[in-house]
Amino acid sequence: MTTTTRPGTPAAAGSRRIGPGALALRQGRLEITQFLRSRESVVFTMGFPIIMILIFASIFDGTIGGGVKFTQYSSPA
Amino acid sequence: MIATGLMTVSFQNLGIWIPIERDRGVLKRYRGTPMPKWVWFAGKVIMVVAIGIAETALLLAVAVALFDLDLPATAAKWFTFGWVAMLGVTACTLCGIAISSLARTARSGSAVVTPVSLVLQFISGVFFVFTDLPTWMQQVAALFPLKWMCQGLRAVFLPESFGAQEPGGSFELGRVALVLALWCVIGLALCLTTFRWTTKRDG
Repeated sequence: MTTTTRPGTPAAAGSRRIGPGALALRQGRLEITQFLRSRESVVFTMGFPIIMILIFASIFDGTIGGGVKFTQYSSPA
Repeated sequence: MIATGLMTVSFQNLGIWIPIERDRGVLKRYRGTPMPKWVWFAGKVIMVVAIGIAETALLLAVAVALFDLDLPATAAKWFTFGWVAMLGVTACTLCGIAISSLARTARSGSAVVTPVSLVLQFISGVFFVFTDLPTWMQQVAALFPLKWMCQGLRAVFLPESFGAQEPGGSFELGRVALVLALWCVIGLALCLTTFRWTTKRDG
């Protein structure tokens, strides 16, 4: 009788298998890299609120009721 | 714009990209690997959170530098900022994953998602002072999460006294938490019941 360990059993793959938590982190890094490598996503998705606030601050200059500046009102929105 | 940005990066981004990955067969192949399925969702969530934080930080930096934005001064306000943003992103991420199943092909993803998010932005008072909108529009907006994210974040950036000018007479943080949590539940239920790993074409 020979005691061969079948490939794929945890004992055989032991050292190379990583836990699900680490796998999730790697998957997260992959997704972030994918996002950042698509330049359109970076400019238009990440930059969208910045572009919008530049536009709106230029259109509506001044304060709304209660002495609150419009930019102070629209920044959180 | 913080709430809008968070919705863009979670709801809009996922609602457009997941149909593309589904159409290309990426999802089908992930499903065929021994990787637990939740890991794929976790990857998306990590991406949304990381990009959302970076985007918000960038926006705050620009607003402080160019428009003299007053940052919240107390720890309590930063705490409110944290939980409103977290609940909002959770709700929008779940809804983004849910709405991705509505698009039948990669091309229809942005056709489905863009109008929804644009209409929500207009009726939720992102571009205008919310109370200037017609009452019926305010009531429709109150059914959806974006209005409540905006209101919760206004509580962080505007003085306490401004709460009197909100439609409910105060910033209603309790109701903000309630509605956002409710949308998390709705989004999760939709994800669990409707999420598809393959397109109709794959059978």
